[in-house]
Amino acid sequence: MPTNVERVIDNFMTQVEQVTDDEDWAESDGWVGRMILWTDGKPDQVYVYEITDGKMRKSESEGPFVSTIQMSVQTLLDLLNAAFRGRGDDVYIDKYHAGHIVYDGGRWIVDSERFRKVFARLAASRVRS
Amino acid sequence: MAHRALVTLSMKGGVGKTTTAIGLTRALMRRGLKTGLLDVDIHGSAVPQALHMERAPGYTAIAGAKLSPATYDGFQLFSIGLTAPPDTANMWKGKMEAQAVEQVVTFAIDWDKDMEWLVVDTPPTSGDEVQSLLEHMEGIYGCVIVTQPNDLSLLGITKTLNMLRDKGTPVCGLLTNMAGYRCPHCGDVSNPFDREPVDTEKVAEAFEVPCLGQIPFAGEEERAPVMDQVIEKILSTRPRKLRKERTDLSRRVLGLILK
Repeated sequence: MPTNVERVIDNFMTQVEQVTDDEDWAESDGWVGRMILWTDGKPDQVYVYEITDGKMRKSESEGPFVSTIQMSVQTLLDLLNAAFRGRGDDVYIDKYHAGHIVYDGGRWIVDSERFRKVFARLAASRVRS
Repeated sequence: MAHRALVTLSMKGGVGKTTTAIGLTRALMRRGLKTGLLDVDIHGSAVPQALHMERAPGYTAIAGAKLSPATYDGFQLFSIGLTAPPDTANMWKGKMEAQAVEQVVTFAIDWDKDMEWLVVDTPPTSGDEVQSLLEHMEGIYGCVIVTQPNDLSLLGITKTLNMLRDKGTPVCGLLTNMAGYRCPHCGDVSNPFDREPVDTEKVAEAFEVPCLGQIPFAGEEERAPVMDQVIEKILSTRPRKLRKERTDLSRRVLGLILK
């Protein structure tokens, strides 16, 4: 039974898929990334995604990970709430530079700009919460 | 990476590293050399404001998974400061700072392939950003150490030179910025600081590095011909690494300049 957070993430990823195409991900084929969500100051949930054949999808991979992104559940919910309201890019920038979203990995400067691109596209499309 | 990099450094803030980096970029371009400008100051990025640039709409990941630099006044430019609104405080720290700089100076920026020089503006620190830059950047031609004629800045020079000696990074020389202000009414030149610009020469002599010149406290137009001379000197003098054995040098220099 998926948790509420999982449902929100799945909903978000479905909408990401709708605003991206093969070309967006083609250059990152083979990318595997991990998102660690914190609750009450401790790592709590881990989600792994990979990009293969022009699609970003959930993965069972155990690594190695190109990027690891960490944030609190509250930060994620704020971010997704903003994305669903068309303000994902602005809120992402604020939280990214404020250190509420922490990266580890060899190429996240590029990846983060890619996230911004996706948020900007979501703002231009009709997303649903 | 085919281009050569010129890195501006100073341990003290406010000495004019950014203005100098922009001036060096323009001086290289006036010589017909294709030049870019990279700002790796994560917390106090000043290049966008110094060039009166608006916040960029975001960089777009492009083929090859790199970021496109901005283009300004004929040169390419990348600054982390352009990825956020100007009033956003960047609170990255430690490993994240070091990784950000490593990515930016190695693969992440899609500079033009025929770019010949890259001038790098740095934060006033010997911390993570600068360490990462010196360790990971290929093609560093040399460092230009910027100072003002005051005690704190001269002290910063000695720290910077010691760091570069330990890192084995080549040094182009010392550049005194804000060296004299010409009164627009009487034409007299006065020094607003507590040391004479010539004191930089004492430090340079002790460390056996060149003095690249004295830049006046003035606008772009008056500074430009001096920057041209500075570039001439940089390109005609082979930068060199400092000798490791001079361990007591700093104390002798400090005695010289701080008495």
